[in-house]
Amino acid sequence: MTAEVTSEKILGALAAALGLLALLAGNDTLPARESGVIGALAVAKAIRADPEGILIIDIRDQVAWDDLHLPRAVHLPSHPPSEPRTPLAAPEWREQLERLGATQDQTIVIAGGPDSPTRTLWLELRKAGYEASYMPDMLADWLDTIISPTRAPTDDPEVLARWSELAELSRYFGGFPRVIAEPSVREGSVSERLGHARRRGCAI
Amino acid sequence: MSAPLYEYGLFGESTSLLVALVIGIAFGWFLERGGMGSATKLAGQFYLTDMSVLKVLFSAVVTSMLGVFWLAELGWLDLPLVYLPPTYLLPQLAGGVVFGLGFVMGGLCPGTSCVSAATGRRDGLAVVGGMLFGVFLFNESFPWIEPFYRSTPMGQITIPEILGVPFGWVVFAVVLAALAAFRASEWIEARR
Repeated sequence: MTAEVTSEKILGALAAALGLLALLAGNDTLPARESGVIGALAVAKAIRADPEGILIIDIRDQVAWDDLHLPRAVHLPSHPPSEPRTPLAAPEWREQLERLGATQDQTIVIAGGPDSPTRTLWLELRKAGYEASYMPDMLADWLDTIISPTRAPTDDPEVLARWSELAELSRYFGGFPRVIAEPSVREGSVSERLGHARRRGCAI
Repeated sequence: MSAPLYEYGLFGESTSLLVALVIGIAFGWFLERGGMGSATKLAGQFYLTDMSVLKVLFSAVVTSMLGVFWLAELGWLDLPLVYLPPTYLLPQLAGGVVFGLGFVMGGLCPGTSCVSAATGRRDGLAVVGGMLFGVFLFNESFPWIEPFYRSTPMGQITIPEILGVPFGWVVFAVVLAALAAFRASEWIEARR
């Protein structure tokens, strides 16, 4: 008696073969997930620890740059003036970074606004051979985390220790850390009050 | 050329929406052709009278898993750039229970209810209406449920990371589980 060969059996055998090959080939765990995003706290710590070791590239437009930018940042708009519809590509990044004197061991941070193509530029920068991170909404993150951090009253020593470090870092950058007595009555973050509300997306 | 194509800037926002539309139509068409627009057929899964749901969905899981694994192995897919939703254990468990209850009561899940409604079935339209009302309620009540919504965060975790085993081992185990489930489904259906 011979078994009937059906399309289901062929597909099942193919899946089994690919699964078995995966068992043999997949001798590594998953590669580290690189989101590429860096928060304002990490950037602030890096600036304070080694100002020369970090290069912050602000890709927002001239008006946003003039309004407020991070300490030690350099302004490099994401789109060259000659081609306003084409974001910088890997060779242009390499050229610009060499002009700025960036080195491979420097921490490079792309700082953008809510509508900046930060992730696309980060990918191009990676292709250009640089290890970099990006701040998708730099201004809101910086204002809320560093310039105007808040916390609710607590006796938790762990929270207080973290707060003490953050408050000290905030003051270093001219911020004003506050304890809010009624956290349920939110007055809105500083970025919201200044009209720079952080955009929420599914990736957050 | 490497994927994800959108992440590498090979097409922009508007093209990505067009691609999503085409893939969505194809997905709906295949669901309908697989009989997934029928609430009776879907509810049969819960009573073990029709194992189509398990076979269709497990086939989809195995196909996409093998595709992702081998594309990444061959260097055609930059896996770390594929978005991985973060895990919030308790809220997602609660969501699973609510989803399951809705599924067994309505006989349709969100995707299949759209397929059912598109083919003119009134039960499909009713489930789509209920789903939209649920979305409205969720958004209106979000300030109250937000603490629970954000509780037990575990980050972007995967089964290989939790178990500390290579990715390929998990792929093989899931393929074996799927083949065993297909065999068991055939056996259950043959008994009826």
